[in-house]
Amino acid sequence: MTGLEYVLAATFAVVGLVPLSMALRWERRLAATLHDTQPPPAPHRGDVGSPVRAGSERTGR
Amino acid sequence: MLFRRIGLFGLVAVLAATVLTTTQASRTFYGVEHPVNLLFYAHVSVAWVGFAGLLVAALASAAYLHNPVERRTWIAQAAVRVSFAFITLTLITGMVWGRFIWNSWWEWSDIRLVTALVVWFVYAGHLLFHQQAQHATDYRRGAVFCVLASISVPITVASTRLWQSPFHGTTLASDGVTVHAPAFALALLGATAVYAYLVLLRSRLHQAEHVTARSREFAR
Repeated sequence: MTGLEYVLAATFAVVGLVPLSMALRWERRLAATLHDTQPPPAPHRGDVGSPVRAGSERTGR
Repeated sequence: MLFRRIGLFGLVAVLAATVLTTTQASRTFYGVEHPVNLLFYAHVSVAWVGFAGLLVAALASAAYLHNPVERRTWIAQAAVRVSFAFITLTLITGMVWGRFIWNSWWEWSDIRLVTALVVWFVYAGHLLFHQQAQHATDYRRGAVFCVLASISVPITVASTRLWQSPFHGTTLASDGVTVHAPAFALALLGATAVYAYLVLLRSRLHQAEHVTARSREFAR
């Protein structure tokens, strides 16, 4: 392959990779932003510091 | 989400166009046989979609000026950003094609090349302006900028008909160009779908970041 043929191959790659990299970057940023806005998970019974107290599995008391 | 389905459709169309172009399309343009001529399908598709997207941005900006709903300015900003990338790709593919066929990377005497570069600089200015924008007044000024800048788009598109262009002719109307119609239609459809996906994704990102910033301010 000559130097110009490498340039041609790189050009075809750039045409595909530029939109793909934009999509991946923005999808990742969107996922991170949406994750930040999610409310924290509800406390589970028995968690340390949880207001929901641990009790008997059978009676719930 | 709908925009992801559009993106997936665009990806499939682009891949199908690539297969069809490399296996079926003629590699001879203007009497010169070379694989670089296959760049035509990418070059013209991204150019058309990129320039059309700038008109969408101008319409969204005009709508924002008429009634300042934030979603309109996000769509306008997203359209400018994606169009800017597409026009950059148009310039790169055009330069590489010119190097093989005209034996020159760039011709300052050619009106289409120069007007396309003017559009690129104008919208680079718009992107820089929007990066600094923080208040509603800035967004309004950005929208005015976008509407005024859109005048450069039809001038570039019609430049080869309005003025003498020694190198870049009217591509599709030229006698020396035999276009594989299904491959070109698929490439154009794929580029349009990818463009729509990127604009919708970016405006969704603007919206999400805006909501997060507001809720943080509210929490303080």
